[in-house]
Amino acid sequence: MSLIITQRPVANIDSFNVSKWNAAFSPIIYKGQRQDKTVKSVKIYNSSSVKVTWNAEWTKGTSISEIETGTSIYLNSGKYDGVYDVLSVLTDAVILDVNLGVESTGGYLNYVSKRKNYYIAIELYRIVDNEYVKISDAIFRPLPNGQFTFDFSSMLQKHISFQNTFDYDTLNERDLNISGGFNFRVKKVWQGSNNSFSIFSDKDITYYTGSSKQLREQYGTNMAKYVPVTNNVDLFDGDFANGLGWDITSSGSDKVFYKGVFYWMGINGAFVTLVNNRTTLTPGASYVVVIKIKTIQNAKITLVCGTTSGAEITTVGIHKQTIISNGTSFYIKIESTGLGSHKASLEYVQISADVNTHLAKFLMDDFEPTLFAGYPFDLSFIFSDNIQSLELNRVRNFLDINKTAISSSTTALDVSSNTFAVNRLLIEPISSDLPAGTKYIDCYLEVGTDAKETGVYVQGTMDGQVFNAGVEPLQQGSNYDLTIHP
Amino acid sequence: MKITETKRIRYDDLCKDNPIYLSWINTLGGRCYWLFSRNQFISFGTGEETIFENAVIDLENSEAFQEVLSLQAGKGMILGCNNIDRNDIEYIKSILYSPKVQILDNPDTWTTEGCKWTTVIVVRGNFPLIETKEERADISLTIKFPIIQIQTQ
Repeated sequence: MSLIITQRPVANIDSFNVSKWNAAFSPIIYKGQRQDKTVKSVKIYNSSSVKVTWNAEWTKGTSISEIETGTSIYLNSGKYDGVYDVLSVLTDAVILDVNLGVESTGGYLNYVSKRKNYYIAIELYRIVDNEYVKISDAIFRPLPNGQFTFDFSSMLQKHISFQNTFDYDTLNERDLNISGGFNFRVKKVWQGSNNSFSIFSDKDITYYTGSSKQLREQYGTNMAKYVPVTNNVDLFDGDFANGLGWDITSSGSDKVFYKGVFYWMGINGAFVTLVNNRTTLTPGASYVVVIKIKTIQNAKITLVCGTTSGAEITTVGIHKQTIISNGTSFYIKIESTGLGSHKASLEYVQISADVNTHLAKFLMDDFEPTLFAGYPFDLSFIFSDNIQSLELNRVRNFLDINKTAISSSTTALDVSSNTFAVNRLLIEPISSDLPAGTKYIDCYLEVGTDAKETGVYVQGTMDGQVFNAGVEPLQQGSNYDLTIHP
Repeated sequence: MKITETKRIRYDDLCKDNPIYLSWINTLGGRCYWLFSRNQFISFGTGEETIFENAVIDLENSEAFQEVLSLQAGKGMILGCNNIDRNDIEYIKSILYSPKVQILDNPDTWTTEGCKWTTVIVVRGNFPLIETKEERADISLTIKFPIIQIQTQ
């Protein structure tokens, strides 16, 4: 019994990065499928009927009472696509009054006469000050074959305003008039039903901006072109066991535990190596490895690639190091450093290429805008979930009339409270002048050099465009928690 | 690691007299700005008039055949800039179809008292922009300031 979301308004930027940002003045579409039961097989029973066996997992459910002799059922399996009468009910199968002369496997069936006036109730929520605030109720009715489509764009448009509230005195500030996050929950309703709304999952939060897209644009209605990402290559978050990307070798009497976090306990002189065997690194290319150390005591951690090893890490927290690949995989070595108890634990390891191939655009077509000295001016960019909690810098290169560099300036953005929205970025501060002779400013954003949590990418249900098929993605219940939105 | 494109911004620090500074939202949700200066043409428009016609019998003592029930009036301004290049023409062109165009009311004092933006309406129409053989051209557009509130009768 489930509703399966088969298409979400997301776009894959690369194998690691997904854009969940949509232009609200274009359709924001979810597609899905009602499947009351999944079908294992359809076999010919006699000359005028077939035997439809459903998947075993469903026979234990209470919904068996919804299939009765004399009721009607919609069957979709192979050539069978229609509403048929039930002739008799077996323990795990049903005999239907149809025979097209072929057998098939897979598919699904929906109760027709037992679920009269079936519809999907939706509650649409917007994220405001770290809370879900309901902005719309809606009803969607699936097509006879169970397919349904939600479009949230017009409901979100009502919450977009073009009011300009930027003070032009702050380096960057998020603009919640023109952007934001939303999430929704669903409830299956029919005559006499008593279902609850599904539970929110923060991973399903999707974002909108007050934009409209034109014909033939790459990524269609998705704002992927404007969404900044880091060039992630691989992420190990809670999976350090052998066979999950690491060959783990430890000296004799060490103890190693994997429980989401990789734990190591050693004696004097002991060590453990985690050799990466999953990530493909291009020889000669430079990679940034971010490693989060939860605990460390009388131990040191080094990142080694070939014969080159990075600086020894001996403190807890997030550390960032650059490695140059020599064509072989790199490894992490944890060694004891002295007497006493030797411990260390790793929370995650993230590997990203040092050069980014997806450079997000500012929210402006390919013009060179003009900044008139002494007048308010800003550039807008999407502070996406893909770069959450990353340290960002605004870089300005000042050029003279011949486009020759005069000087450059790098300023750290305020990242603490401005994520998950369109940000306004100040170029010329009110109080200070730009270098004399400036005629052009080349401006871009970069990731800061200080080690900082690089927003461990939340994959979850956003992996690709399909929810885990066959698993009810939106669970029953009414609880939710919001943890990722500051 | 760079995460955005490099945006080249032209920097214009020449002194401008009679500044008219416009801000508008573009189709992507970002903001664009342009400073019109030197000489702009102020106009004034009236219209949308509704007239009531009295059936006058007593001509000798009547005040009028017609009374104005309502009308609209407001200031307008024709803005132009001369000899600008293709980039700037394309950039300014996006004012013409922006749903939100605003004028800065306090260009001299915004740094201390904050920006005061007033929404103006761009007069629609067909605008000749540039000849394909040319690299530079003039551009002109008309904005309407907020209408004057007038009593009706």
